[in-house]
Amino acid sequence: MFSDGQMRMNKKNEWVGIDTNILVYFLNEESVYHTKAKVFIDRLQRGEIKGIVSWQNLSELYAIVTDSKRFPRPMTTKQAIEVTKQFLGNGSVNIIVPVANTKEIFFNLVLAIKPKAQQIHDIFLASTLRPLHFGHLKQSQYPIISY
Amino acid sequence: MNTQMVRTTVYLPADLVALAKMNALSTGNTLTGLVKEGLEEKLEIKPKRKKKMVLKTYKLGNPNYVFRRADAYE
Repeated sequence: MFSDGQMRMNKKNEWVGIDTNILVYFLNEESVYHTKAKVFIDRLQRGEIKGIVSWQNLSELYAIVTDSKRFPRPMTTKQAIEVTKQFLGNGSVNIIVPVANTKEIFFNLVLAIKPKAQQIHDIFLASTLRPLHFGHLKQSQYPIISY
Repeated sequence: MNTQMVRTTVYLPADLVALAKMNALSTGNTLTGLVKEGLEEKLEIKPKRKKKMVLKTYKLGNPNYVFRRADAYE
């Protein structure tokens, strides 16, 4: 979840990028990381912080929580869509999409980091988030992207 | 308050406008509506109305599962 186990809270009124892992751990109440993820989601629910996700995060979430290879009791399509709608429903979480300069950021990051194979998806997510200054790429296995 | 609508021009950061438009699209709102709501809230013209986010959780099993982004693309 967090590379050093610390919860990173942004300064007041700033948006926090929410990576897919947080959502996966929160939705699975049996996850060993559920409690940590819940602390973060609870703050969203109370409106103390505002979150940003990309469509990439939401499609990854769907891919994971409905996958019987990952979980013995995966969510159904209806459950996954319902929870995603709930997540986006009250205005505490916004969706960010690639913008005009995402292309340049993407190419620059790829050239700088030289990702291998599926690591490219991390780069694309970082490229999407970066233009709006929601975060910097953390070179950790399970990054949360935030300032 | 006079509720007649007027056209006005404001200068905002392009990225902020892009984000606001995305938010408006994703919530069935408009940029105008979003700006209006924001101003009303800031000026305390209307009490803040906010639906509480309620999220269900599930017992999916596999408690030690650690998310790897690549898992979503297999």
